[in-house]
Amino acid sequence: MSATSQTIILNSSDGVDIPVDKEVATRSVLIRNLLEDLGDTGEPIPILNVNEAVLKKVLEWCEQHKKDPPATNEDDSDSRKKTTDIDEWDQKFMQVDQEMLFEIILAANYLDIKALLDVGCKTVANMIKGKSPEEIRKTFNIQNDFTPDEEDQIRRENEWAEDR
Amino acid sequence: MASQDVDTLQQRGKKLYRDAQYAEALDAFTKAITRCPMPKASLFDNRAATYERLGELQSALRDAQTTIRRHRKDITGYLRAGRVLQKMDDPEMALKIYSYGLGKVSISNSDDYKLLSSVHGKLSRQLSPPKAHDPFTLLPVEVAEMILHHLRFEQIVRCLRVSRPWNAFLVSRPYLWTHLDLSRAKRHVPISFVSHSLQRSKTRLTHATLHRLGDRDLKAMEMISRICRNLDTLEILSSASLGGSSTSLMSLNALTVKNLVIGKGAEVTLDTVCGILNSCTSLSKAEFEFVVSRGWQADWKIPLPNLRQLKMVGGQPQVLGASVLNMSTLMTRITNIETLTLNKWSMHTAFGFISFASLHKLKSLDLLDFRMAVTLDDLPPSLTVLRANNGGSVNPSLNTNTNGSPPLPLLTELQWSDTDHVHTFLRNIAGGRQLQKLTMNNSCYTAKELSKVLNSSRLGEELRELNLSHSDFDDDLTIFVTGKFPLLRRLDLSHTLITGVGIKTLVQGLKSLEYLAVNQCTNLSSDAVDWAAKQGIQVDHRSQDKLLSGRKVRLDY
Repeated sequence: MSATSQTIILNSSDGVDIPVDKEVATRSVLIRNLLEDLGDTGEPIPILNVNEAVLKKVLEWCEQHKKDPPATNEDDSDSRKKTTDIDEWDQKFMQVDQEMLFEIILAANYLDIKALLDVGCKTVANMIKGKSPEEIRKTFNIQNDFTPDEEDQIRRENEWAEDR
Repeated sequence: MASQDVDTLQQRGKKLYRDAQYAEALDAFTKAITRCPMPKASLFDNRAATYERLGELQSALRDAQTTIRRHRKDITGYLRAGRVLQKMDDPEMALKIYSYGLGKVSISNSDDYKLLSSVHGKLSRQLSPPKAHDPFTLLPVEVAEMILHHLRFEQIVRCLRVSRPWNAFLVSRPYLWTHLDLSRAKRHVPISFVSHSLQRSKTRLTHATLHRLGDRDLKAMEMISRICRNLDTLEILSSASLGGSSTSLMSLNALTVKNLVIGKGAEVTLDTVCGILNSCTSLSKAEFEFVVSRGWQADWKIPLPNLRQLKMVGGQPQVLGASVLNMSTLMTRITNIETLTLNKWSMHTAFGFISFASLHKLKSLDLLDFRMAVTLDDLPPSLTVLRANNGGSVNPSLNTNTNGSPPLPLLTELQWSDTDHVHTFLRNIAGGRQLQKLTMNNSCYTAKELSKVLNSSRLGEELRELNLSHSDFDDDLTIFVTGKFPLLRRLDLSHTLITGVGIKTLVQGLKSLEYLAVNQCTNLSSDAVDWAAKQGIQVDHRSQDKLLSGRKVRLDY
């Protein structure tokens, strides 16, 4: 066991064992804490809420970012607010269908990988930015359930915010 | 006679259509249309339907468009055009037609509107990407909030219109409404928006940026001052009513506002400025971008120990110039000031000298277009940033009776535009060697003057930013820059005589260079610019031609 102490095994919600470098897996605060609490027994660590496909995708991100410095305790929320710049590798990584995108976000939230959660949220924010209400509905397949009168009133009050 | 004839033809066409004799039906409708000076919209719709049956989709679309033009408030044409476009495999255009129609059809005609709206909604959802999901129903609330954090105020306002669940979620999040930010409003903002926004903030509004409220701006301010006790920052970017009345702003003193910005679009009188500063003693920052004086001197009644930043920009050419500012009294009131900006107050001939030396905490002084004589001895030693121009606002020489240490030991940023004798200035101050940012952006700087300054032993290696735009900077001078300022990161040489050769020398010599502006340098080819960009430098290069074509000539090409 000692020779492979740098590798740990994660067990996905659909029961698949995935071996992974400890350095990579501990980008997840949840896994890091589990390892600290349980000790490295060599037993597979069950990841209850994440299936194999999503877990592999998340670990791909962790592998790419394993050398990143740990997140500093939050830069000013204000400076964060306006920047939705995403690094090029991450942008490509996030080019998946919406189902996978939201699964990745949910997994990052559950596994407590702040930087990945942030990239996911920025990606969704970019899908909303610069779009009209109608385009947003189309993007996310949302039904317009306002009555004509309601819609008219809401439009009158808020159309100053339209781009055009 | 004729109309009866037309009606008969239409009826016959309809019957033929029902009997699936489309070619004959087409003939009947066409006859009816040609016989009638102003054919009814329904005739075109009938013929469009017939064309559709015959598979002549282009003709069907043309008739549907005519139907729309004849009767824009009727849904018939939009429905037909949308259907035909979908058959023509252009659902995106069909969706556009439907949403255009929704904008034209009156909602009082409720059933028609609902029908068009449902057709539109159905197609819109068909066109959604595969596996599309509503993020706000799928993701937990805390994650949805993280997403919203990345959106600006007006984008959140746009989201209010998406659906009922989105609307309900957004209005129930007070923190989204703590900064009422109308700065990006493209059109008039109704007052009802402001009052709803205040309600949503649960009176936790801390920052208000008012813009485009028309003549309701006073009403908005009155509401804010009545409801929001936590307001910290108030910005008024435009106002239709501020100019006339000073009393409206006096309600501010009921608030705890610390930062007040009155923008260019909101003219205020100097009396109003005095009134505000004399009554709102909690202010730490006060900026007035467009101040007009009615000729009376400012009356600075009380000390303003909390004031750290003050900016007053003169509005129109001031008859009495800066003298109306009553500077000598002001100096005794703003003893804790750190940033002082006085722009566009022209000289009054009978006015004397002014000293800032008593402002011991002053770090930044901006006197651009402030025509008043100041000497180096009049500036406090705490100063780190100085901006001056226009012949004589700051005199670079020292008074003869100066004793003690040289002035401005802490200066790190200097903008010296329009004004000669930079080298005299640098020789006489203590801070030249640690200067990090230098701006000399005027055509009065000849190559000779520039070489004197750049060569000056008083200018040191600490320089990070250099702006020599509009000067006579040429290739011969590049060698001084590379030799002298190895840490230079940003360089602006717009409107100068630099060529590609000079660019190459600069980029190769300055290892830390990140940004280079060479806008409208007529001697410069785009090859050199491309080359510099390839070296990893962010280059701004707009030429006069491109500016023109971007604005006006574009349509001609």
